Amino acid sequence: MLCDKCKVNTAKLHYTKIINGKVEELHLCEICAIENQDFDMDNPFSIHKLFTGLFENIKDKNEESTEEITCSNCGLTLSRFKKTGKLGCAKCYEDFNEYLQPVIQGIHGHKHHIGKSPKRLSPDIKLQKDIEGLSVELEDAVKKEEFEKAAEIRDEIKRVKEQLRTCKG
Amino acid sequence: MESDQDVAISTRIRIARNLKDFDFPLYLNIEDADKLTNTVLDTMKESFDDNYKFFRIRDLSVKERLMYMEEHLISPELTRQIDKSSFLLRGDEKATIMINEEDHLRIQTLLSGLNLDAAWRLCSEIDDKLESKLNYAYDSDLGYLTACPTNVGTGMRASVMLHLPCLSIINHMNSLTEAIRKLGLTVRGLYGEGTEASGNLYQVSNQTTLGQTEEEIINKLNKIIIQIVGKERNVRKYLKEKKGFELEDKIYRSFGILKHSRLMSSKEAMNHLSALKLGFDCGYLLNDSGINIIELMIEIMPATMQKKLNVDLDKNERDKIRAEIIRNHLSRMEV
Ligand SMILES: [Zn+2]
Ligand SMILES: [Zn+2]
Repeated sequence: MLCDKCKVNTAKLHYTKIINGKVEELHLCEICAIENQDFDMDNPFSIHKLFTGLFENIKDKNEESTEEITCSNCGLTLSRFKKTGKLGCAKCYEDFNEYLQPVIQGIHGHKHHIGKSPKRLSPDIKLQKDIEGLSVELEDAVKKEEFEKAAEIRDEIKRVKEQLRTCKG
Repeated sequence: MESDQDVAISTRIRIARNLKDFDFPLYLNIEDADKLTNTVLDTMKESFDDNYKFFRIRDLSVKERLMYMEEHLISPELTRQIDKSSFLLRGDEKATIMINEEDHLRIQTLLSGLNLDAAWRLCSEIDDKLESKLNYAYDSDLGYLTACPTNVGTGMRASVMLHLPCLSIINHMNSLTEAIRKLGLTVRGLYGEGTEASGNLYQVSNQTTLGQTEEEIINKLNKIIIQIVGKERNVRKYLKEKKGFELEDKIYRSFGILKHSRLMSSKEAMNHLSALKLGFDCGYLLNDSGINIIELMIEIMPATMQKKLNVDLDKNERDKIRAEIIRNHLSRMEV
């Protein structure tokens, strides 16, 4: 059975709803089901709805200037994302960056991750992280007026930056 | 005497991880979903020596899926993409690795009591082992990349289940919930978003995932939980001193209903079992046969009950058997 909405994918989720005594049936694929969560009886209040609202606001602001933006890796369009609230792949974060940044800031109140990172990071990301860490130390040393230490850290940052340049080729 | 699970029942931590080279699960076709699953299984074989059992959602009956959900071992989301999703359950049921949920991997640990540090340590250990072989989608700015931007960063959700009958009795839950939300945490019922707090059980968890370290998130949650636990204990003490007779009456009424009913809906059962647990924890009733109320609450959930008995039951039959199960559990209790 094909999905009632997109008529492309196979319908995997089946819903019934009674409106004014009339039984309505809906057969949806997984992707369209996410857009239709108000039909989902198991999920009367969906946090997703709350956030898609957020995504749609962004759209309104940029309406005049937008031509469709598409992820260069998975082909997801920005307007599709605004409907589902789900990104298609890791590359979407890069390609939709301009739109995602204010959304992410709005949700979390922050822009940068400072928690755990994979141990096997590619060398350039690792060096980048090292520089960030050293910069914090530098600031701290300056604040405490430990200028000798600060000079050492500054040299270390220079060294790591040089390493990063050669690593990036 | 207060047991340490009188208020804080259990601790759950889950982290979301994705693999760099695959589209996120919703947009994966079944072949690629299988390929990803096999990649994860190979990693498990190489890096894990603990004993994990593997289940594909499509191989489980609807009842079995619901049972794992009722036990909080898998998420409802995992059962939505039937052909793609699977999970690995550790022998002691303290850890689940869900594959192709909303994200490629959801690593979950579930421990009893208030145990955030240990749950995070276990979760992070499993994460390290998987990461030693798998290429995660990670951005130096945004952290772990997730299908939904609401999870980006640490990808971590830490939650503690609390039993708060006395804060409910004094009608304090609404204002408490409001206060907790203002602190940036979420309060939900037993089965997550939108479910009502049956049995006076609440889950408190962090709301955001970006801009704080995992330890900071956990420490903050821990501090607030300790305060809520303290509040509930204080109200228990207060009610016992000032309204002891009314409290005792409420508990014994519930005990009587549980011990003698012939039909019981799950909602009614949850409320009376909540009162019974309060009776044990406040010393009004002696739990001499060692009944675990929380386990009993799960045992009488519709799917778990039918799975264990291996029969299909309509609502009336379920209510009858539920009452019977409860009576059996309480039969050895003396008053
Ligand atoms: Zn569809
Ligand atoms: Zn993409």
